[in-house]
Amino acid sequence: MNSAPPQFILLLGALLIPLLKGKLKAAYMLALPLLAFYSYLQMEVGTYWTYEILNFELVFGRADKLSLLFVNVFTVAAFIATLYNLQCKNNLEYFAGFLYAGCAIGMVLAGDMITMFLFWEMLTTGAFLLILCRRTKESLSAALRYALVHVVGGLILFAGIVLRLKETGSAEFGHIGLDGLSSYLIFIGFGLNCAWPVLHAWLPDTYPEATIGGVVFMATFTTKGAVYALMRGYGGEPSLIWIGMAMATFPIFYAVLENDLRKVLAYSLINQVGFMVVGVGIGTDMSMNGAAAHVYCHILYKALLFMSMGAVLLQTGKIKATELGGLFRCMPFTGICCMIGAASISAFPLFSGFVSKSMVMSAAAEGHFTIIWLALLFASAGVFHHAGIKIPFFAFFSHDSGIRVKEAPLNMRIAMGIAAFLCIFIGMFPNLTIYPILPFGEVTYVPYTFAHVNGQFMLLIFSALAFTMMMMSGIYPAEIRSINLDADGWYRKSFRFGYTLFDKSLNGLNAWAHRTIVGGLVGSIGRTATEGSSRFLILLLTPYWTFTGRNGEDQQSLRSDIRLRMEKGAFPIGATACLSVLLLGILFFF
Amino acid sequence: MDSQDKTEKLSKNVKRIVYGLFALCVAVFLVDFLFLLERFDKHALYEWENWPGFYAVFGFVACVLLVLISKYILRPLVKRDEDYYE
Repeated sequence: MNSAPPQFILLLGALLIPLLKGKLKAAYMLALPLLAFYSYLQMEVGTYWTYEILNFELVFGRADKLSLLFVNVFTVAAFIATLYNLQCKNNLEYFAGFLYAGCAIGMVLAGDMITMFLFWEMLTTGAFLLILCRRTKESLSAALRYALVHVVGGLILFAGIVLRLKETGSAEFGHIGLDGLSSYLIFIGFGLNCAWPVLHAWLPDTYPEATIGGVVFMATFTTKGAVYALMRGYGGEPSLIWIGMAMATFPIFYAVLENDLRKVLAYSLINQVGFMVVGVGIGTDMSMNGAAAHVYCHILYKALLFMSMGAVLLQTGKIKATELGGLFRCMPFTGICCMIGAASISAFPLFSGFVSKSMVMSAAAEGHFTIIWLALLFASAGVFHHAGIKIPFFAFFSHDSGIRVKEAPLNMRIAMGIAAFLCIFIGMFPNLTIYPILPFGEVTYVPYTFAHVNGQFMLLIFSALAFTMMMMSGIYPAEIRSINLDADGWYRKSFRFGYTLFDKSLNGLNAWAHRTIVGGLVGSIGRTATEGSSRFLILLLTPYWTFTGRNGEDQQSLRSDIRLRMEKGAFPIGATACLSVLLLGILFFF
Repeated sequence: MDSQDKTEKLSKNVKRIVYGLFALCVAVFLVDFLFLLERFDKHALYEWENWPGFYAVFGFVACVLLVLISKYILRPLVKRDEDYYE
């Protein structure tokens, strides 16, 4: 093995970025993913870069067809996203992007769970920084929520891995399957990053708050890394079929209502990952290949859509559907790229999504998963409706918002152009592009039959008809400035309630403890220690004094005499000796 | 060209696009009847895929349902003010 590990090219290479300036810096940053891609091309199937630590074998380079496909698409996406993000002029953001991409590649190349977990967690740090770099109040709190959710997910995964190490004695990361507590914990840990229903809320919550270029990285690595982990560990697990179906369907309802266009894309991201999860769950060669192909195509068109919306946000400063419209006149290139992305995600014939999505759906039909097939068909129509039409329509057409801006910067246009070209090229020539690198056996699927093309075209064109008719008749829900409650609501609200609860209860307890212990108990202990013995003695002697007739002032002076003597420890030797003998006598007899 | 002309031209264009869409819908729908002929095989995995216009009806109904459910069921349930989390 002559090549350098691609993950370390990015991770170590990123450290030099702050030292460079100007064009050299840009060239250097573009060279890193290209070098990583070159290194990928040199890699052959096999196991490289292994180290033994504490009786566990750490594998940094498990290269098989599955991991190599992910390395391929991750390096391509890292190049496009870096090129797109060149105008941000923030070293931390550059660094975070490379950290993110490097960890994602490191994760898919990891042959053991310890290495996998290491990169898995560092990946979260990259995303966290990319949200933070937006430097708004909202992004700060979104970044913290992102970190908290992923720390919980990471801990669940960690617990699962530790249990599994103990059970099996081996750290190898192969097929796991659901068979006991550890496997369920790992399953849930993967599922959180994969944005399963209910665990998904971090995604639409935080992606729209990330930086313009940062979200392109985020849309690529986290969820697809999780899909890789599921393919590796849980291929053919039937529950994934139903989880994937839920993912593919419920977000489209939210996407119809959502006003923030990057949030619409975040929901449609979950919808698309749903198709992959269904593919993984079915577990046949065809469905797994479909899922893998869908990962490849999806990363490109989803990045393209996020890039076009990022360009709109950068140029206009706005991203809400209510504030945009009519931008096609001043941003035609971005508009066309957006529509190419929209056509790809909607699986229009000749665009990339058509090939990969059809593979998953055919696999569902062949496995006689009829309900799943119908749900996926519904999701296909729905995704065209909200991502295919809504995004380009409200940004570039619709009513004229009166905004006049310049076209996006050159580097952004080139990045979008490359992604758009790949979307069409893969869609037209799947045999030359993705079929040869698909990991599970030879691909015989033929997407372009007359019936299939016409059927898909009919589905889409009648969805467009429905959109047009509802738009014209005013049935289509008006975009309103609002928040749509999602599964993050419970923790965002209840944690605030929890904060108040803990603030009142624990801080109240604290205050009470301060009052009673510091203010009360300590004082009384102190008083007891200094005055207790004299009081006791006075209490003991008072009846004797009264009996012997020493009352009034006489008694008062005796009391103060006792107090004074107690304080100074000054008693006549005779009395002290007498009491000591008494004490010894007591000890002797009892 | 003043703004009224522009608006008129725009709405004319919109009309053209809409009519184009209608024409396209009819055309694709009719093409689907070709598959009733023996000569063309749909390689259908489900019986209903052979019904002419199945995908058309499915796409249309799916989108209408999607919008109606979103608008009348989901939105009243989940809609909150923009400062809900503030």
